[in-house]
Amino acid sequence: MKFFFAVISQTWRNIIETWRSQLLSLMTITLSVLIFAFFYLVYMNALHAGDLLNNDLRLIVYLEEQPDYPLQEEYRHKIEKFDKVEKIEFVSRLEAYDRFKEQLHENQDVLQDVPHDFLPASIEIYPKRTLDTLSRIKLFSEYLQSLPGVLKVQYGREWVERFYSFVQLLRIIVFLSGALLVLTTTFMMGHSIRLTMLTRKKELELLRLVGASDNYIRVPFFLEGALLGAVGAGAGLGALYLLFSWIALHFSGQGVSQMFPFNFFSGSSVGIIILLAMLLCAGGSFTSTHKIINL
Amino acid sequence: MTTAENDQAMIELIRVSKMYPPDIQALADISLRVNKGEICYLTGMSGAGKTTLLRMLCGIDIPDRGYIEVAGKELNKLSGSEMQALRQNIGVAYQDFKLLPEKTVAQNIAFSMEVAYRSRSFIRQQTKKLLVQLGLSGKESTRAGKLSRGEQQRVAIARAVANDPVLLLADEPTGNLDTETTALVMDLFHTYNKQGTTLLIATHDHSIYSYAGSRVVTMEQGRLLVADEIGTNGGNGANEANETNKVKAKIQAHAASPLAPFKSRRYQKNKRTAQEEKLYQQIIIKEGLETVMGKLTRGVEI
Ligand SMILES: Nc1ncnc2c1ncn2[C@@H]1O[C@H](COP(=O)(O)OP(=O)(O)OP(=O)(O)O)[C@@H](O)[C@H]1O
Ligand SMILES: [Mg+2]
Repeated sequence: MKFFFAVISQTWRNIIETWRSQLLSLMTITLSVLIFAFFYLVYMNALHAGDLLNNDLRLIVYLEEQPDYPLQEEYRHKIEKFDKVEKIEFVSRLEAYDRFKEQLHENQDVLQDVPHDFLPASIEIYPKRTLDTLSRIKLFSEYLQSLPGVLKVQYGREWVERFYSFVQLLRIIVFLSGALLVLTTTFMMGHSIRLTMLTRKKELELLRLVGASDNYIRVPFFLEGALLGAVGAGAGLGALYLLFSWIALHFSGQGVSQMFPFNFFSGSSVGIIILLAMLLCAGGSFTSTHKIINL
Repeated sequence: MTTAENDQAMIELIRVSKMYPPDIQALADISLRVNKGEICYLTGMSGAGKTTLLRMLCGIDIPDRGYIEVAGKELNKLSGSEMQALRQNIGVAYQDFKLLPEKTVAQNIAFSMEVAYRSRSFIRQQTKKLLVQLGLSGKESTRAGKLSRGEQQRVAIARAVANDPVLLLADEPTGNLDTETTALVMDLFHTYNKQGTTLLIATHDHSIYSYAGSRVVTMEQGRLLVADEIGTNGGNGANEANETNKVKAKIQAHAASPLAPFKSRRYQKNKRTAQEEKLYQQIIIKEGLETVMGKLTRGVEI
C-alpha cells in the first residue's frame, strides 16, 4: 500500500516535470492508434455489411426429386459434415410455387395453367457468416454440387467473391497498421523513456545510493508508459470518433449509408484498444528501464 | 552474517584492499572495527583513502580483497534487495554532496525518506525539524543549486540523517562551514549518536575531534597509521582482540581468495564494468592455472 502510494506520487511528479518532452511520443501514439483504429473500424463494418447482405450469401441447392424426411436428414448430415452452417431450410415444390406466386403480385394469372409442382424442390443453406466460411464458399458449392440428386447450386458468386477479396485486403491492411502500431508505440516509448532516464541519470543514481528498490525506480516509468498509452489511444479514438461523426452527419439519409449502416466501435472494443495501447507502451518503457536499471 | 563474537560491531573491516588503475593503492590491508553507538573520526591527508573507505562501506565500490561487515551483514554476500535495505539504514553525507540542483531543499531531504516509504507527514515534520536544527529554516522551497556551498553541505547532512539511520557516514561534513555552523552540525550528530546512531566521520577538522573521548583513526596512503585497530581502544581490550582474532581466522580463507569480491550476486556477470570484467578474467585465468598446476604437482583430486 505504502509502495503504491509512493510510486504513484513519484509517477505524478515525473509527469509534471517531463510532460513536454513526452508530447512527441504522445502524438505518435495517437496517430498510430488513429490509423489502426480507422482500418479496423472499416474492417469491422465490412464484416457487418456481410451480415446484412446475408440473403445473397445463401446457397440454393436445386434437387431432382423432392426429398422425404429421412432423405432430408441425410442431406442435412452431409452438409454439416462439410461445415457448420447457420441454417438449413428445405423448400418443397409447392412452397417454391407459393413464393414465386407471391413475387409475381398482380401478374399471378400467368401461373394459371402451370402445374403447381413445376418448380424443383430445393435446399437453402445459410452458411455461417465468418470469413473462413466465405473463403470456402466456392469449395462448398462444389461439394454440394457433387451430392447425389443435386441439379444445380446457385449463390451470389460474383458478389461474394468480390466482397471476400475486399475484406481480405482490409484484413491485411488492419494487420499492417496493427504491426505499425506495435512498432511505433514500443519503440517511441522505449526511446522517450530512455531519454528521460538519461536526463535524470543523476537522480536515478542517487535513488540507488539511498537504497531505492528496483521496483521503486522502475514502476513509475511503467505507469507513465501505461498512462501515455491510455491518453494516446484515447485521443486517437476520440479523433476517429469525430471523423466518424462528421462523415455520418454529411452522408446521413443518402442511399449508401442506408444500405451499409456504419457503426462505431462498441464500448468493449474501445476498452480493448486502449488496454492494448497501455500494455504496449508500458511494455516498451519497461524493457528500456530494464536495460538501464543495471547501471 | 551475525556471529556472537561481533554483534557489538557496526562496522567490521578485515584486511581490506583496493587498488585503482594504474597502480594507486587507495586502501591497503585496512582492518577496522567500529562498535555500535560509537563516534569514530577518520582523518588523514588528502588522498589518504578516506572517501574510498566510506564508499566500500555503503557498497558503492567493492574491495579487491578483504572482508567487510556492516550492521551484521557481510557486504559481498548481499543480494541486490538486501543491499537496498541496508542502504536505507545507512545515512551518507557525501563529500561532493550529491544533491539534485533542480530540486528544492525539501525534495532533496525527502529523497532518503521516500524510498523507505515514510509517510508524508513524517517527511514534512522531519524536514522541518532538521532545517531548523541546521539553521536552514525558510529554505525549504529554494532550489538546491541556488544555495551556497555551506548550505548545500548542510542539506546533504540533513538528507543523510533524515531517515534515522543506524549508521551515519559523513565525508568531510564541516568542510565548508564556519565555527558556529560546525557546532550546529556537531550538535546534530551528537543528538543522533545519543539515540543510537553509530557515526563514522571523515574529516580534516581538528576542532571537531579534539573533544575529549573521541576516537580518532588516521589514514596515510591507504593504510591505517594510528594503530587504533580493534581492541587497542576501549575497555575490554584484550577480550575483544581475542574475539576479533577468531573472526579473522574464520574469514581469512574466504578473504584470501581474490575472487571473493566477485562472489557477490550484485557483481555477477553482465553487471560488471569493463574494468572489473578484465580484472575478473585475469584472476580467473591465474586461479585456474594455479589450481591446475597444484593438482599436477600434487596429483590430488578434490
Ligand atoms: N575512481 C577512482 N579511480 C582512480 N583513482 C581513484 C578513484 N577514487 C579514488 N582514487 C584515488 O585513490 C586515492 C584515495 O582517494 P580518496 O578520495 O579516498 O582520498 P581522501 O582521503 O578522501 O582525500 P580527500 O581528503 O581529499 O577527500 C587518491 O589517490 C585518489 O586519486
Ligand atoms: Mg575524500
